[in-house]
Amino acid sequence: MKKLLITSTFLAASTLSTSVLAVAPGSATCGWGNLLFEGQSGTPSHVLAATTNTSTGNNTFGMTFGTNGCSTDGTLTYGGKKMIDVSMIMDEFSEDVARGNGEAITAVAVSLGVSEEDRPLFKSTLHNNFNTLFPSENATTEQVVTSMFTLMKNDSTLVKYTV
Amino acid sequence: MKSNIPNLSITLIILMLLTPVKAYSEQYETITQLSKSEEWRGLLHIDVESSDSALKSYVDDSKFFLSADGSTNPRSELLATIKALKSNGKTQCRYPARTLFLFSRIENLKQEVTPFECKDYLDWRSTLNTTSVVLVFASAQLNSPSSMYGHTFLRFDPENVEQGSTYLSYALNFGATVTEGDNGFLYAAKGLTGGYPGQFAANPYFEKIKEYSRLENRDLWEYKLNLTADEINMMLAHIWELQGINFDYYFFDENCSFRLLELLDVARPGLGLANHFPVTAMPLDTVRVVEQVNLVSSVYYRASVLTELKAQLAMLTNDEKNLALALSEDIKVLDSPEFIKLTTKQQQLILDSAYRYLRYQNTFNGRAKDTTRRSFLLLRRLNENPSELIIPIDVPVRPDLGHKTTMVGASIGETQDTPFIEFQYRGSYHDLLDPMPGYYEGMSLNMVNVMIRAYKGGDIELAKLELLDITSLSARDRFFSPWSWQANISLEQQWTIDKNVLVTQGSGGGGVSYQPLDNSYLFLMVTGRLEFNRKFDHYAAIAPGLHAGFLYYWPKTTLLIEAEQYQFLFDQTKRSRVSLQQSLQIGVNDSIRFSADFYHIDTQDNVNNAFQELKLEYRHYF
Repeated sequence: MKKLLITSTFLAASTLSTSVLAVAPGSATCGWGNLLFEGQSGTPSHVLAATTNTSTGNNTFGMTFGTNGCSTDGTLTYGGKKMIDVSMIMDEFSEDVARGNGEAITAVAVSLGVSEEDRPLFKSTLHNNFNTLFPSENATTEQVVTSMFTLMKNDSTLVKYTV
Repeated sequence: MKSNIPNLSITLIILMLLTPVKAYSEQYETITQLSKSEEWRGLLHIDVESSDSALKSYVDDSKFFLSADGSTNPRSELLATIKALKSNGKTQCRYPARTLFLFSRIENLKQEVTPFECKDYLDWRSTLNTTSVVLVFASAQLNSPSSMYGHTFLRFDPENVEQGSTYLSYALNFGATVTEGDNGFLYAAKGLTGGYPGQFAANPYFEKIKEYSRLENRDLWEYKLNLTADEINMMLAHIWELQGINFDYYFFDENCSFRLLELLDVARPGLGLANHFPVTAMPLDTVRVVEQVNLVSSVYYRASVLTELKAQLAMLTNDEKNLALALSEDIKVLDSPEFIKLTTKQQQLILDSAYRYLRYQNTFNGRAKDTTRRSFLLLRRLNENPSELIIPIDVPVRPDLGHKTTMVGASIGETQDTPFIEFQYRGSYHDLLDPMPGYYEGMSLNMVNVMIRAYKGGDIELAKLELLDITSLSARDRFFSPWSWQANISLEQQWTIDKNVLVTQGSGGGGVSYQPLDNSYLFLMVTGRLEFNRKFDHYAAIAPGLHAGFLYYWPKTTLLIEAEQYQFLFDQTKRSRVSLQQSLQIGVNDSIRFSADFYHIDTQDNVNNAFQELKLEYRHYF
């Protein structure tokens, strides 16, 4: 069963990646290309900004980012569906998936519109498939999100949140 | 018949001309009154208490005003706003809060303004979908000089945020737009003098959590406010008006906290929150004021990543700590007999600690190949080996419930066998012996501390004027190796040769501290002192030295034993001091303190002087 899942993930990844990239804003070094544990590397000015009570967002009032230059409003679109920019919370998200709960995994669920009743299922599905979502430390956001959608599509309850 | 037509039209024209004039004269009084109202002045950021001749908006940006003299003349800005609304319905989109206010206060104005669908504004409002507002206080972080006093910002939560995630909430921050490359000290200097423009900026809350909780290790306090839907509506409408608008940013008064109070005044007129802070607005004090006017409905404590990690490490036994440390360095420890023999629960605790510790250590180190690999393997093992982990974190006393930040003290004492009385005033904020609830251990930050002393016999002198006094003790152990440091700038009396001399000095030190017992600090620092003393051969003299101490916290009382010695390089004067101080908290805002100081001074001519000073002080915080 697990093998089957992984195979379908690869299939999905290969067929969907072009469409994902087509809507992915930003450059190759951010957004969907972000790696696990990318953390705060290479952002010393951001760190300085954070320590000096400065405004790190830009001055328009949408949900804006001045920090990684990837997404413009904290959300990205996956196959037309808007959700939280997982690349911004990859580390927190991977930890929550490993533990089975937490604020980051909840945020992903909420941003996908997963109802409160279905959230335990969403979380346990991800938790039980940690290795599918994060096959190695070099997993990119794109691969993680693609695998997550595949997992959801293979679940009769969660499938409705993928469209 | 024919001649009647022009007459009729003239009458009509006269009538048409008369009607608005009449209406206008009736409204004249209202307009003047409205322009003086707290609400209108709040919307223009003009101090409600300033007199009519000295009006000046805090907004330093001409694009915020419709009238050329709008920043100093609220009446002409009011008229200009009404005119703009009548001539162009789109004005509503630029000034939704002014529109709300004027529509509710000027009869029939709404009918005279062409309705306009403000799509951008409405889209923004529906994205936020705000039903509650939270005031967030990021606790002080001494190791970053510019954030020593803490920071405040607002968070806007959608409905059911408790069941959802505050990650997605909208955080609104007022901050200086700092030139890239300016460091903390330059920031402080420029910040004091208004060298930076300040603006509001928005981020999702998870960005803020990352900044404070993960990168800076600052605990967050989330004060949920009881604003009504109408109040929130007004506040957001006004925030929209401030988009891209510049204020001058001043570190002490017109800072993040002051601006947020102004927003709360707009939301709920009559509170007059901003008026509480004519001189300085310390973030913690602004939180207290918000609490005092009953704006707070509940408080949530968000421990920082480091606080969590330390709480988790505290759950481990000594052997388990060693295993966690070893595991964070070498993944093979997972296969060691010591690890395998443990229960799943113990294993999970060690794994989790090792993982958190490794991530904490590498917060700023990027993706080094081996640590990244090890982090991943630990995380995978954590996933395979699940056991519900609950980290017990004691919620500390709320910072706003601690002692207040200004202090007066009165003491009696004796020095060199002469009795004295002393009066002390301290502008801010907390020293190592002040009452602990709501404050962090090992942290002392004081600005403007004056001590005036009257001796028996009638002599009165300035004993000390401290401009700045900082001590930051961070304990080292096998997991953490932070530095401890101190800095002090003051005018003070120093016994030089044969009498007290008022000297100017700046000193600093750096070193290490350890916790030999719970609630204790043992520290040692290497110090340097620059002193300007007219009785020295060289007016400016430099003295290297050492400073050691032991600090112990009991629930209501604190003990500090210190010894310091330094010797001037050319003058050869050597000063030593051993001091014992004990404080006792007798109320939230009252304490008493006993101190005994023993001084020994060797001068270049081998004139020795040893004396002692005893003092008993009563302190009140307000």
